Amino acid sequence: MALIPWRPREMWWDPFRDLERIQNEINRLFDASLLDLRDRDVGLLEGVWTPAVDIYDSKDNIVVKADLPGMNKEEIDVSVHKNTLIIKGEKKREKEIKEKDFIRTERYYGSFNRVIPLSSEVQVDKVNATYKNGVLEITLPKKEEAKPKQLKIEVK
Amino acid sequence: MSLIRGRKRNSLVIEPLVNIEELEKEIVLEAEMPGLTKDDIALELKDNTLTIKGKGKDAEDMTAKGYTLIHRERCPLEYQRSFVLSEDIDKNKIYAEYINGILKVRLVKSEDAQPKKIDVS
Repeated sequence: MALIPWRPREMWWDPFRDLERIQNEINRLFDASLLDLRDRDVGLLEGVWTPAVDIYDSKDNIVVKADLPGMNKEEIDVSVHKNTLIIKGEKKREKEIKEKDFIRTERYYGSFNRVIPLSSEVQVDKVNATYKNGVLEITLPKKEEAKPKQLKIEVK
Repeated sequence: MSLIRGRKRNSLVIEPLVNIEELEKEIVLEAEMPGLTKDDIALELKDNTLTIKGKGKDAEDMTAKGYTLIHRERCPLEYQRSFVLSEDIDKNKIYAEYINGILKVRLVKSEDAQPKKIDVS
């Protein structure tokens, strides 16, 4: 499964941005093999947003942190499938919006989906996820056999 | 209310995304600043310019626990953005709260700027 390309967020709406995005997608189309395309779950013109993530690694765990400000924990769905972590959900507006009242709306709403390939096998039943201060933190303990081993070899 | 434009290129400081809503008596600004605590946030008012700032320390904390950052999109968690306030905002009535990664700033309009109801006698 492929990692959905993360795009740095744009602060100001720029009409050329969409054109540039189409151009990039077309370029990707020519660069990608047919096998890659099969796994794509993002439409060519779909304006999806993806949360920014940091991935940390240690001897025992992999920790993934994702920026998901202003959500409820019930709206977030985390799943692990073999070596892949999937974070998805839908960010809803807190209240009915009256367009006339808004001076600016830059925040993203709607559904998101982030697929993260993990570098090693994890113990699926021991994965722990918490949501605090707008950040989703997922701790994935590595499988014993995936941990780096130190073998002491006796010198004869 | 207007915004100070200009995106800081080549800088690691993030300008948080904001929603600004104008209500009858106040202007509500909501900025996305995930990963901080209340104490990491500072609001500064200088003349007519309101600056919101925040700096988290995720990476330092994790490194101390023996983790290595292998993929980075959000760190360092440093946010800053400035706004020019219009004259009709009461500078003494600015309230802020931080919930679920959103900094919500309420800017109350001065008495003169609020709509008044005049009774017809």
